[in-house]
Amino acid sequence: MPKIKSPQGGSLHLRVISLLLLIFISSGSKLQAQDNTPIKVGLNVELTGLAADLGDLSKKAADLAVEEINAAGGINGRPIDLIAEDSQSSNQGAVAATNKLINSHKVVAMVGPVKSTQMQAVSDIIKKAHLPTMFGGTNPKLTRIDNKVVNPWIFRCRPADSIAGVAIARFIIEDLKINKVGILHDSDTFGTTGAGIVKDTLKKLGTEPLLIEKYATGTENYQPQLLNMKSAGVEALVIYGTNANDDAKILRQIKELGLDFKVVGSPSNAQKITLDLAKEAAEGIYAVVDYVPGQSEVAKRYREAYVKKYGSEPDTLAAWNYDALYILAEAMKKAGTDPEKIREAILATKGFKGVLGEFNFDEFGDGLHEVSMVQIKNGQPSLLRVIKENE
Amino acid sequence: MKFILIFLILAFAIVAPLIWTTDYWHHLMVLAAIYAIVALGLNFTLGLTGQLSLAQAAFWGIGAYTSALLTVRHELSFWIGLPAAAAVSALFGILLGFPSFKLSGHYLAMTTIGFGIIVRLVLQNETDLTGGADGIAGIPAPTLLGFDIDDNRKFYYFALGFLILLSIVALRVQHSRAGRAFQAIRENEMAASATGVNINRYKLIAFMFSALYAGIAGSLYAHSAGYISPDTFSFDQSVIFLVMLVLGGSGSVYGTLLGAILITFLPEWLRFLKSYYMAVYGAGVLLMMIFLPTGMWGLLEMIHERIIGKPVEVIPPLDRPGEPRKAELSVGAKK
Repeated sequence: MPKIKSPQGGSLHLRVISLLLLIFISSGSKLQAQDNTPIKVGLNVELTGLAADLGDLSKKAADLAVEEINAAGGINGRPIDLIAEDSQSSNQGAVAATNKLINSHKVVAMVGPVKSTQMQAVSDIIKKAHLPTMFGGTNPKLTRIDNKVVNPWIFRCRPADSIAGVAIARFIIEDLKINKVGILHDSDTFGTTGAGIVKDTLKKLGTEPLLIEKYATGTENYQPQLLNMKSAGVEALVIYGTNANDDAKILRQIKELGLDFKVVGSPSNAQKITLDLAKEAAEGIYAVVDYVPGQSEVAKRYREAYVKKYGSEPDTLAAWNYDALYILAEAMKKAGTDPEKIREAILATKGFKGVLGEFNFDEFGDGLHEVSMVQIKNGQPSLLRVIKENE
Repeated sequence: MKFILIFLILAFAIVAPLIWTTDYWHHLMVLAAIYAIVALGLNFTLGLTGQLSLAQAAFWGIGAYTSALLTVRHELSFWIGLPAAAAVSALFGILLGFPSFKLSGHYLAMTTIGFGIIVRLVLQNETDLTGGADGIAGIPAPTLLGFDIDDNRKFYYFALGFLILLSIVALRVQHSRAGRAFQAIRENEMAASATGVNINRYKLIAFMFSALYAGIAGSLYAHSAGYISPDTFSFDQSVIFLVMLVLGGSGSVYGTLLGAILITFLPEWLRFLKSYYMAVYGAGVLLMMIFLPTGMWGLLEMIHERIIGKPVEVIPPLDRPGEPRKAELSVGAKK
């Protein structure tokens, strides 16, 4: 068998060996210089079940962030590997997904859940596992009870419900300059808590609501409450509703009765469903929202990138996933993958400009302390003012 | 032969947490044991008596809330919470049994769905009593003879103990006078009545057992999860319990256990399918219902029959041995 000779005449074996040696040496030195293994981050998201549509949007927002972060060099050269596990839109499912992410995937950090009850259900597991978790549930009690830290490992990336109540009260007194206020709220936890915060803030600002009325979720006729408001002399009416269709019914009946309240509503009042149902009855009302698409440079960039990748408009409720991954990535760039150091780095995050606004984490793990006050013009929310929690 | 099989299954149940050692699997095993107890309860109403009840998640919720409220708000022991949960749930079970005197089939199903929705609304809106949509947090782990049952592995053995005990009770009841009366009602209400079975009384007893089991399971769930909220105890969950029963083998204790375990783990095995899982899962259940109308247990019985040449002992005593067992899945339909 003729020996294979390379064109230069040297033995092929020798050349191959020297080449392998070269690769070996160079890769060895490279390994020392830089670690390229992906960093695993979990996403606890509703891929199936009742909230699967929101889960899909959340995953899209998160995927977009990971794609951008990895394209820009990842975490000091290490890409993020985002592992999505299905919470099946239930508490048990969220627990199983969290356990799976911790035990089987051994993730460094987690993003999700967005629902407060699911967050509550996984909170203790996160605490035991020391897993830094960015989440979206807005129940204030998740992060603080009686001014004490509930769980040092969770970080909220959406404004807590309490901020909306403060913002409504301050907007009425400071911007509308009205002190004859009435509050109409849903009798569920969300509405009752919210109305209570509006009332307390009004008191701090030196006024008391003239009348507080409530209704059960799904009520059809709001005329008694609305007429009571009128006879009490209310000029500004706070609607602290939970469900968009209730808000729409209230707005329509205000219009039908020809009442001329200045209406300031909870976030559901500015939801697309409310605006579609109430149509011209929603025109001119004020409402607090997490953020308005395109209100800042970051939000504009997010919208553009989102439309380019998916060909549809981003959803306001899913955008926090995008911010959460960026905050987490920034923290890991500084702190590496040690959970305690990531925790410290997230809590040290101040002045981070995200899609939802400026993130300044406090000791409880609350990142956002601002909401946007909008007015409905031509069926669209338009930004009036960003209200900060402590000003 | 049968005892060897039962021994093997028990041995497997006991060593399973040592084979799959992560908390993830242990949590699922706890859920499987708890779901199995709820499904065993449903077997009394639907499986044995033929009364289609879709309120099983509501009874489960009543049990969970009773136990959670007693232990969290009133700081009572789990060992008071558990029997209280069973008792309160059973009481509601008896109450829901009354409509079954006059209603059957889908009319009864509608009534039970209504009951389930009312329970869920009460849990959601009676904020002062139930904590509303926020649910109840900080439910303590039970203690047994001075041991804290505070992790999933310990809780699994704890729940397994209850499951074994309640399975034995279910088997005893099935083969008792009451069990035979249940099945007589399922097969033909009028004939049962003609032979002297007090139909209304046995229907109430079936509903009571059904709710009692769910109540015990609810208490176990509350104390293993440490947190409960109304959305867990939804109509969807009732349907899942129904699927467990029907897929496993309605009317058979072993089949019910098999179904509960399968339906708890199936979503986890199908996790790799991501958002397609529901479609595959649904299609799987559909196919099984078409080709295995007697459930998994029916299939196993059939295989056993082919090999041994005679049916296993667990077929309902009303069916004559030797005759192939009829499908009993025309749920609630009057024959």
